[in-house]
Amino acid sequence: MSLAWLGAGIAIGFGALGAGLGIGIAGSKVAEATGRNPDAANAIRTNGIIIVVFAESLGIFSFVIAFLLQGKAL
Amino acid sequence: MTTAMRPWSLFELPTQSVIGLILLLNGFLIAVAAVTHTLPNWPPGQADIHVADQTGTPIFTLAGAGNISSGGPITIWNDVSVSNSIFTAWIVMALLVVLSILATARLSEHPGRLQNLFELVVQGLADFMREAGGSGVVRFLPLFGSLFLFALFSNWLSVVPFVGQIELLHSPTADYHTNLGMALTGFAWYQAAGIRQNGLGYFVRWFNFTGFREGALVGVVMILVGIIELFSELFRILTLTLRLWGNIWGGEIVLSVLAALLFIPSLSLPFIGLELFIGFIQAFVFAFLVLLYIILALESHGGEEHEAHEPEAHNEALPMAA
Repeated sequence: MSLAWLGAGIAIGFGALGAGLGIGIAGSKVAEATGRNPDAANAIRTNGIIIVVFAESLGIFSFVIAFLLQGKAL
Repeated sequence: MTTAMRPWSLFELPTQSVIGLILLLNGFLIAVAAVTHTLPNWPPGQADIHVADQTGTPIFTLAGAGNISSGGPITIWNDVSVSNSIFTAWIVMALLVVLSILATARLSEHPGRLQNLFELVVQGLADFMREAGGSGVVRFLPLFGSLFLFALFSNWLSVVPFVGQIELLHSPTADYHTNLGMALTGFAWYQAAGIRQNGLGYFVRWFNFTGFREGALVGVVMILVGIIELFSELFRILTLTLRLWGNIWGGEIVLSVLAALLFIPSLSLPFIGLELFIGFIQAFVFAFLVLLYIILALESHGGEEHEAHEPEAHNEALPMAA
């Protein structure tokens, strides 16, 4: 039963790691693109938010899995 | 220090006195808790943190009461009932409807405050849609705007005190049933829009046999790509649902856990600002993804012989959605 807690920790840890790396890479590229072409800042921002959200949703999935596992251990 | 006669004059107060007031309130709360011996244990055990429910609980059961099966971490309510999240969704709907009626009851050439605000919102949403998908998709403004405003109000309701903490109130988007319903609405809508626009040619994107003209290998690859596309359609429902729900529900949990862990109640105040921002972004993303799926469904796909050259709205390069 306590293995479920371990699984929850691993799930949220690796999930947050992957999502964080993805959001960081996407965010740095968005900042670069905005710096290179400030006129297109609005379009870049919209597309950047959309891309970041896809990476983020994977982190949210791992959070949900972790919470369900933690509920299982109780 | 000026006395706060109206709510908005609070923003004119100097920052230091606002922070001082908040700290004073915290000290008062801690003093009351110390006197009445209801101070929580430190570090707080798990039982001390009230974690928001994953889903609503029935407050009024029509039929099948007690027909509840608890399968593992998720409790399944097999009854016909009105849950607290449905009740709160009614509140959100009533708020939106009453505001809209008030704003549009006396339309005039010289708009008042409320009409001005509504014109700003509607015009902004329409401009955004035109920017994203050409003027052909502005006719989906009712769907887009409704999803956005409903999700926005529900998300912002989740940080209001007592919502999610008492029996009667539970933020609708923190209950995955509401999000699934919204996702299914968007799903049915964009499939219908695609079929209406492209006719039978709409199904070419999933069952594409045109590749066989260029050889067996290309044909098989095209069929496999079509199968992946078909499954990605189903995953769109799942990701739409879980993204919104996970963000809002997770945000509620973060707020309650921080309020318990940090010991000083309103130190979680900055995170309320974060939650407001996340609520806006997630409502925007939900509505925008539905719009994106509509744009993707409207554009003709693959087989040239299926369609005449229609005057197609110019689509900008948008990221293909999972």
